[in-house]
Amino acid sequence: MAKYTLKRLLYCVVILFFVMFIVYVLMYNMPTGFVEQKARELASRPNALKSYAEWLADLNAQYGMDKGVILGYLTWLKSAVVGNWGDSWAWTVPVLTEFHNTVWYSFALGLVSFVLEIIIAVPLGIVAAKKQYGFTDYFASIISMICISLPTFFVATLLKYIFSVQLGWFDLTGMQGRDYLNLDDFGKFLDIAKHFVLPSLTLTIVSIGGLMRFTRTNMLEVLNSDYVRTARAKGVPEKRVINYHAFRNTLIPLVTTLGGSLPGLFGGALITETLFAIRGIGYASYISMTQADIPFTMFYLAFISILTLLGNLITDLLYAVVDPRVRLS
Amino acid sequence: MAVSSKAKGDSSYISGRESRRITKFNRKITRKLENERANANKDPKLYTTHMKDPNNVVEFDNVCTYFFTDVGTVKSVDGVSFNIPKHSTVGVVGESGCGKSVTSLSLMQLLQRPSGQVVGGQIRFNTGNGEAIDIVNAPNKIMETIRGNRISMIFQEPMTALNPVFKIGEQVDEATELHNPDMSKEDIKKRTLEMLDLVGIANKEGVYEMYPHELSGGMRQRVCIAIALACSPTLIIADEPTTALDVTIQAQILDLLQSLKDKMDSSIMLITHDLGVVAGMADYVVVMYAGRIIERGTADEIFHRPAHPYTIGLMKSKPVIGRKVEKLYNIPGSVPNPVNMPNYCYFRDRCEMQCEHCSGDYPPEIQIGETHIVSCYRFLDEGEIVGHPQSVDVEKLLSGD
Amino acid sequence: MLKGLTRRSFIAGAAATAAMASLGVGGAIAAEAKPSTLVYATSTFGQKFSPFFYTTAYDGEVVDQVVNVLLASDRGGAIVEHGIEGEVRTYNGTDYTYYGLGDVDVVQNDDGTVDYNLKMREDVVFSDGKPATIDDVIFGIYVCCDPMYDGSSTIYALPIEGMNEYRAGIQPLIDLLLAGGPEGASSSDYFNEDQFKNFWDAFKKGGANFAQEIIDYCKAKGYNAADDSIAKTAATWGFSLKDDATIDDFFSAIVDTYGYDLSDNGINNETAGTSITDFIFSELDEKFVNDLQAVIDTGISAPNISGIKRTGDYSMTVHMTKYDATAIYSCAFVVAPKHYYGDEALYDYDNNMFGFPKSDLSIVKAKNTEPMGSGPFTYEGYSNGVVTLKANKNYFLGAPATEVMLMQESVDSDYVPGIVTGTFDLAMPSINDDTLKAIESANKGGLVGDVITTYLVDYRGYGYLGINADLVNVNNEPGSDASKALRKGFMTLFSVYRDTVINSYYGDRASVIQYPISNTSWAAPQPADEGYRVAYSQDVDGNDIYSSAMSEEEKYAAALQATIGFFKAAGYTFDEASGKFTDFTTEYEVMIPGQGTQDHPAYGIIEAAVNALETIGVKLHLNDVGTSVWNNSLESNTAQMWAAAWQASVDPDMTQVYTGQNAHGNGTNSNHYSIDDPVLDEMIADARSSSDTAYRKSEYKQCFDIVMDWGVELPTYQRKNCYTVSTERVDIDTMPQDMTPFWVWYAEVERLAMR
Repeated sequence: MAKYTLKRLLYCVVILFFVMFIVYVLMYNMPTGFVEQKARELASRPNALKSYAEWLADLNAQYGMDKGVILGYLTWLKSAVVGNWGDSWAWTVPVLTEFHNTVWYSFALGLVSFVLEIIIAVPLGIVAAKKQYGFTDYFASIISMICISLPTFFVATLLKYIFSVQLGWFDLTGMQGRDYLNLDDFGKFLDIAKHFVLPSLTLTIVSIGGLMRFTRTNMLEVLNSDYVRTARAKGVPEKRVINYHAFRNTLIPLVTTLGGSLPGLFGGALITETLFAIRGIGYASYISMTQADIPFTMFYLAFISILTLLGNLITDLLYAVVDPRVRLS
Repeated sequence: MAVSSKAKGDSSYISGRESRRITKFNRKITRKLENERANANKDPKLYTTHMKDPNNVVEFDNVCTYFFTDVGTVKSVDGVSFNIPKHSTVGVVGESGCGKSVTSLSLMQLLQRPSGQVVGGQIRFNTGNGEAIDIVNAPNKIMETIRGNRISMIFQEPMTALNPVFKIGEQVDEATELHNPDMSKEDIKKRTLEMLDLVGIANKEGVYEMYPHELSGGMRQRVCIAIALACSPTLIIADEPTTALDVTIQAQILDLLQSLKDKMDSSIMLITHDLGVVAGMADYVVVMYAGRIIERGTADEIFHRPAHPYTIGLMKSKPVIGRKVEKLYNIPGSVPNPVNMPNYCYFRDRCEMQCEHCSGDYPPEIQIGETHIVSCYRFLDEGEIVGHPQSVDVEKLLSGD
Repeated sequence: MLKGLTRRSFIAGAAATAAMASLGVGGAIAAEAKPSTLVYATSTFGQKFSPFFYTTAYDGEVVDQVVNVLLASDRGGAIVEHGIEGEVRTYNGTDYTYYGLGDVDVVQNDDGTVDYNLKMREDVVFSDGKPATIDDVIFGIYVCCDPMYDGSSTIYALPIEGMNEYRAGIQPLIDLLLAGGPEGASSSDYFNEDQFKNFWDAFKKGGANFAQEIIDYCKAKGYNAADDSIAKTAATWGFSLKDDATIDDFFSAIVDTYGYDLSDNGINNETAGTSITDFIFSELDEKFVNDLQAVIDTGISAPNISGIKRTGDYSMTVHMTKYDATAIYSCAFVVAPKHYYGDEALYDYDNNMFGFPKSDLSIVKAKNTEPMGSGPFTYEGYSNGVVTLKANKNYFLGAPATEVMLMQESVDSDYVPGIVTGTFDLAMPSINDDTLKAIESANKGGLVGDVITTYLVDYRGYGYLGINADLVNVNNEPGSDASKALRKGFMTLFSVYRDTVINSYYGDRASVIQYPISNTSWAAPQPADEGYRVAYSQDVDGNDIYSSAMSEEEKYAAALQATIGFFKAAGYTFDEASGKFTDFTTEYEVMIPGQGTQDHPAYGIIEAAVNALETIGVKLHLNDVGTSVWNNSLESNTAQMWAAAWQASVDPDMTQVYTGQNAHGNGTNSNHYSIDDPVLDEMIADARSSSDTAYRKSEYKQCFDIVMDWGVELPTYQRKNCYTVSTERVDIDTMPQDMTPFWVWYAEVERLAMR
């Protein structure tokens, strides 16, 4: 097991190397660069002393874009490996500082919606499978279809319209309310929590559809299997058949999928965060990307790649934990 | 029974209108039957009764099990009546799709509801002291005390019959634990190891800790048998227990079952399509065809003096080692469409020995020996009529009471 | 596992917590009285809240609340000269009194130098209670003039005496050679005799070529006859020489005037096209040229800027070597506390120590995230996307009426809904149909109502259509009458469609302007002024094309006729019978950055013109491109005709955009029209060096006329910005009157109060 994990980790490193190279090449060739924008801005100012072309050359040299693609990548890689990700061009603070400031909000948002979606979708899926073709099943299926089909920005805007504009229960956007300063620590915490309600709701709504369908499908497959029939033939009460015998098997794909998505909690939800002005990592990355802030974007994409690879690894390892058939002896 | 002329000719085509009608009908009737069931469950008087013969463990009395499917009502078991006496092995033989498994599932109340329903007849199970339970009406709670405890079942596919995520020991323990809540954990484990030993598993402590995927097919079937025996049931249903195994293992399992029968005192209902297996083990044989019993009797009678043309054909198609033939015999024709069964002898179109009565209705059951009963018009003059398999008219059922 | 009852109870529990949360907030506040809070919605901050180093406009707004500048500006953007007692100026018929932290007195000396005498209020106190003196201002100036300063302030570019010497010390070799002159030491620590000799030989030869170019230019332009003597030609150029002067004499005269200064302020001011530096370098080999340009750390730099003089605890003088009309705007120096941004111990004016180690701005940059000053608010912090500002009791105009101001990051589309729901109180959304509809529906009709009050303020820039004279001309003579007629022909036709198209694209959110200058500038010609004309409303003979009685269709037809006249004057043949030009074969192209979706106000104008031109046999192409393509072709001067927008600076000076030195890819390459007219150049230079506003205004009017005569620019529209304010929560009467791009919503923030 340990050897397997080690081997997988090494593969991850190799994959990461090439993924980051591809990302770097794409960033390098983006048409509207931060550098060009800044050059244009500097040149069009009154009393500008240099022309656009001169500023461009200056800034390119300053930001290291004048080397070739491969050299540039290796230069960046050399400093990245030791943990020096450089200063963000858009935020003008070190990349890691900006990261620390923003990732925990995304994580909080992700965690809350993760827990909520499990609580709602999994039991619903089980019930839908148990009473297949019954009312619950159709109802749950319709709900999940609706939730899958709705795009995030639509759900977010809809929630904002209903709960903020029409009902006035929540603030439209932002992370803290107007009176934040005057609250004590607990009050501040509650205020931020209140502002997180709509974004978490958005993320939950968007995710429960898929999870419910997934649970239902797996549950159905399990309920029609032979060993469930054997259990019934043994005289096992129906409740225990569902909740113990069947569910334990449904758990395998469930746990592995959910476990694999755990690293994704840190990845941030770009659209939701932007629409609700939550300063999470998704939002920060969006701003950086539109301004072609190469250091931050490279870091974020490296981060996401690491999370994805980690997620895959966790999934595979979890399989071995929950499914005895997969264990390597 | 409304049968559209279209459906008669080409049974695989169903028009849209027909399909909607079928679905509506299915919904109505399943709902009605489920409601009736729910009501019946509350009154113990509705499901307790008496055995006709206290020496029987189970008495099937005109059992009708229908499946309400999208293509129509499939009459899997249509008026089946036979008995399973104590301490005996009854072999149920027939082709694939003749309703053998459904009969056993009806007995265990393991049918896929709501589409599968026992719409008529009684299945009387001897609970002792002359009391019996009508399994058709029995509530689930009662069935849960019976299943695994008084009646247990061994299934056809040992590879998938065990839960892959639980250890063998756990699964066998559970059977004992469920029906003996007062036993201590150590006692349960002792019993399990006993059972594993009984079914001939050598490394019983090791196997106790193993997972199903670590065992071969034969081993797994032994484990299933151990589970079935754990509570010393009065009836063991073995639904084609050796079909999925190779011949050598098959022989071993059958030997095991035979030895257990002697040791354990239970009746066995052995469902199979393998005549050789039946010949070795069964005391009584029941031959089913298209949902009905066409002949039953002792093994000796069925094998040496088959009466029904189908049974005769079966015996003839058995290849014999040492005998050279030009062509292997097979019964011409095929089983009729289960959705629209005709009201004459099901075997008539394939029969080589038709007589003048065969053009009439479905033949009654005719007794031609003490234990030998056959449904064939050829013996109309020889024996006496003892009964008619009764179908249930589902339309009447819906509109009626 | 959670199922049924357990699940339901869990959800109930979660809902209860959420409900408790909202109650909890309410409960916690009820304990104390809430301070009045104004929430302003804005866009993402760059988080550099330093008066010296901020980059984004949003960061700048935060800085403006916290840090003051020395001189105030009025509604027109002009500097208020007597801010200490208060100065009354009229805007739009109303008298307003303007207050600032300081006074400025501009004295032009006889030798051409200028003194800006600045005086400061004596009672200014920073928000931490420490009083402000002129030393804080001087500290700020030295920060911006430091050689390592990389912020956006351009004080260092002003012609302040001693500036270059202060910022020197790291000089290219060529400067060191020039410093000594040809008679100076032939060798030193930094160069040897060979280099010295080679350089000065090249200087002489290059100089001769430089002078020759001037002569050739004058003759080519027709200012002089081909056989005129050098002296006569030099006279045209402004140099009087003896009659038999040689080329070398001419160059010597130039050198005498400017000294050994190769910059645009020196010898190169006389350039006729190629720079003196280019001429010199072309005489030398490449290696030497690289050596000359290589910087050498001489370590010699002036210890202070001689032109910055402290004249008292609350006064100073800035001494500039020549008059530049745009310089006064830069005199509104930042009043930043030196004890906070710098090190008090390092400030000693008399010993040339200015609060921080020279060339090391790290202690200043360390305060990038937390500004402090004498402004109306103090900076409390930035978290969760919100900048918190508290009223400054020590503000010189009194503590602001609003105790807390929050600047909150958000998306543009949320500004108006946020005001409606109570999340925000004030915002500046981008105007489009959706925004206006949202405002109107919230108010149940109208832009000013019970929920939202909207202010439409002119924007500081304008949109225009440009033509590159170098590419659109006759016989490669961009300045000839025929070429001008060709371009004016196009422009006249474009001009007539502006009203309809701009009106339909913008409605009343924009207005059509007639001169290439924003209406917000004091130099903009007003309709009441003499000689005010609709752009391109005269035909080739100078007669008015339009009369007030004409219908739209008649105007289009009249314009087309005028265009025909122009093209004929450009030399093309017009066939009366068919109504088409027979030899107008060149097909020009107009580039519009509509991103391929035709989403640009100028699109409709050109489209209509293309169709009209089709009927007279002239093909014009309309190319809808992406921003990058458009920008690249503009920057490389390959675009023949284009649509663009220009954000005006405070001062109407046009050096950057219309002078020859910035044309054809030279200089700052901002003159994409390639307009190259020495008369125009002269006028611009004159206007820039005058302090008489009336004179400047009339000069600029003449400049506009020349530009329009060249047919290279057609101003199309000027749009408005809008401020949306919550009527329910903000006391609308405390908003500033007559807001302009220079007098924004927080111009009188100390008065701005909540209900």
